[in-house]
Amino acid sequence: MRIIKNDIVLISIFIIVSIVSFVVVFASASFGSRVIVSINGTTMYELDLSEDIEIDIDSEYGHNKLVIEDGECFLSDADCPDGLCIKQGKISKNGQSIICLPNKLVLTIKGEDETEIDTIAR
Amino acid sequence: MTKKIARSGLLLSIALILSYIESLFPFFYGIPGMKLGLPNMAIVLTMYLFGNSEALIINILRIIISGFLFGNLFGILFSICGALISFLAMLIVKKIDLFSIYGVSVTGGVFHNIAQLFVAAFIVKTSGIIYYMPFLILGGVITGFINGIVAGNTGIYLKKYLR
Repeated sequence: MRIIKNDIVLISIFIIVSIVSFVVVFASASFGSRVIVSINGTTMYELDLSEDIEIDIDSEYGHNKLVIEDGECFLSDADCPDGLCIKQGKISKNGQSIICLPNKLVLTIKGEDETEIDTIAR
Repeated sequence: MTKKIARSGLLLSIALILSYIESLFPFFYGIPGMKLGLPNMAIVLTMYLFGNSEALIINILRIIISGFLFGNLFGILFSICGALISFLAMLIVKKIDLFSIYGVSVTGGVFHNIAQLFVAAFIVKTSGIIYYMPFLILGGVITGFINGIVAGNTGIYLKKYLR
């Protein structure tokens, strides 16, 4: 069986649709509503992104300062040696995260209707 | 008639074996709805060798049987949507008669994944999983293409013995 020209056209169309939907989906990524703060894997805080707040997060691993401003979340200060978590900038979209490895701190943005899919399709 | 029954049984068992192999990879790389679509190989093959109605019957039977063997009732309802929409899409593409077995198989793979995604989105009532769409389309193209290669090439040989 040999592939014919029309097949290649059809496959190209599917691939183009896939790339276009990739661009569309990620350009229009929905804004999250909450930020989950976890240290060493355990959730410490769940904060609403709609309220402006500044909090200090202190743990046995170190200190970070979290700021929520205009629905965006970022770390303004940290005592970690590299300061990479501050450089990761502001996050606001569903699924985005800031990770501070030395302080074992992870910030993740979550939406309202997050549900895990636990059924297996066969 | 007897020959047709024997032949259908053989094709159904091929589809079931492929379903079993597929069930060993439940969630392909963690993307819901993404399937290898291996049984589709047997369905495409049947479509080309023995016609659409026989392929549809085998398709439905293999979902029900494999659902009871390797899955659950919920899984049957879930995958029957994907399989029927994918079958319909393949039927349309085949009827247009512009494409070879590759085009038909790729269409089947893509529409199967898209349909499963929509069913999943409906069940968990979140639009969030629409993020997976680009990957599912691309995945469908790749697996559909590989299935097309296998179905197309085995078809040449099986035709001699199964007719």
